[in-house]
Amino acid sequence: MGVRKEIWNKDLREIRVNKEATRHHAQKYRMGSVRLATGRIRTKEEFEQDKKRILSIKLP
Amino acid sequence: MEFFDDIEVNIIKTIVKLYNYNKCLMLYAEDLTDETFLPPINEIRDANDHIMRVFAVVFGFGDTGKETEHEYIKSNLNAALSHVYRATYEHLDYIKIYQHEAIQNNLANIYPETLATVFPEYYRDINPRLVDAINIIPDYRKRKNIADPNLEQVEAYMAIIETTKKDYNEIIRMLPSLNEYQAKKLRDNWKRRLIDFVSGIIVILLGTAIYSYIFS
Repeated sequence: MGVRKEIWNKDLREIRVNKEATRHHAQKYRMGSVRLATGRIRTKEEFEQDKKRILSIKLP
Repeated sequence: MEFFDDIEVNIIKTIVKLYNYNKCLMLYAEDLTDETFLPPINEIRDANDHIMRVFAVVFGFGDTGKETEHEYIKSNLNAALSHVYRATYEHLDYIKIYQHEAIQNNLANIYPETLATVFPEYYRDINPRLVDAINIIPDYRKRKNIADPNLEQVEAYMAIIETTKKDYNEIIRMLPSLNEYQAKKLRDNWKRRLIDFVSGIIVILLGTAIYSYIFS
């Protein structure tokens, strides 16, 4: 097939993850990071929720 | 190095340094939460894409569009740098929050009085540092100027993360002493309450006996 020049300047799409689906299919996909394959991922949305919760609690 | 001019070499050096910082933060972030944070992974993937565009031009199978080769290389190296920079800030923000949570969780059952007595360094040094860390390390999404990566600033923030890591370890080291003191305090409080209760009963009984004696 060779190198396709027209592909270089296209931007990649943001990775979006459904953690439940990833965990559900973990046995089928064993490539790459085990952590990612088993759904041990924290998304931007989860982090923002955690952040609000954590910052609302004061340290002693 | 003949492919790159001096400006490009400097950008590459900055990317390599920043990537190293980011990798340190990524490994620590995974230790802290046992999960991989997705936004920096997206940023690193985009950075890699821009670096590959540069190598494609260097090896003669890229597409520079209307730009000259060096204009194209510079713009893609700068884009890669911005992505690694954003990934670093994502990690800094992430780590400061979960460090804070780890400390909150470990101190959740410790009374302020226990901390002040057994671990005076906590209120004197550690607590103000932790509060500062949360306020000093910025939330990168609120920062508007991400186009001009400042390596010294990143190093300063990394130093804060490192100090918090040491403070956290010190808290963990002190936990057995804090728990022991608190358990002893609770036992003493129960003893005192029991003595007060028994004394109260004795006083009531004596009072009743005296009253009966006088008025019988």
